[in-house]
Amino acid sequence: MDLTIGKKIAGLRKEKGITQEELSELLDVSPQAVSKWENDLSCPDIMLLPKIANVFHVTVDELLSSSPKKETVMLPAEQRKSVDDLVFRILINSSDGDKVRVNLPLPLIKVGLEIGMRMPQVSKNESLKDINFEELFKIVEHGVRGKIIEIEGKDGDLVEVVVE
Amino acid sequence: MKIFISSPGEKTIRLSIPTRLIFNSLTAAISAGLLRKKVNADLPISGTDLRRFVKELHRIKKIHPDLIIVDIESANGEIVKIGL
Repeated sequence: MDLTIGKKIAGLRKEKGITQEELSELLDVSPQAVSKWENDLSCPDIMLLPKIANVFHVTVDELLSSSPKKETVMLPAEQRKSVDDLVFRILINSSDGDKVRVNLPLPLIKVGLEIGMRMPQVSKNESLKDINFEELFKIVEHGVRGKIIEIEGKDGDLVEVVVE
Repeated sequence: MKIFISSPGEKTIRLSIPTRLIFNSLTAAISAGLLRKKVNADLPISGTDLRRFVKELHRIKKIHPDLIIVDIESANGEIVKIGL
């Protein structure tokens, strides 16, 4: 089913776990405006799209795309972005309600690993200690995009690694 | 570098600090020395390594100028964001 921009914003907002009021504060608009977008009664101003995309860590293209976002895709070589443009998004939702988002550009991780940094040193999160980022790079180089890791810890923490 | 800290009932703090003021060759050399002295003498990270990391960071900033590196929202409503 095709998604309207309003439904897309509603989905992204729920995914981020914020209310319409909180989103309206982040965007400097009224809560009613957000409600109207989500119910397809109006559309956000075109000048606001980059700001909305930034809040949800997506591109304006993704925001405007009418097809639902696939969780994981394998892109053919001609459709792949340069590695310089790719970002590893690490999403940690802890069982006690804390949310941590770490956005690491791929080239920065590569340099970090080459000089001897390890992810738990960087993020202080033990859930990441067993993730082999060298192997993840190989997967990404083969064209895999989207959610590449999802770990649910025994204490209820949820860790996802998404490459976009 | 932009830092945003917000706590319920507290004043919101917004800091904009030039990235090159925090991350430069001098701070990289000092940080590498401190890491070896205070954290682990066998740490393989040298001043040259950190300078390379800093150089990459500046290059990334040109590609992703508004990237939020860390975005933390605690269950009690505290928000911390660190952007490039």
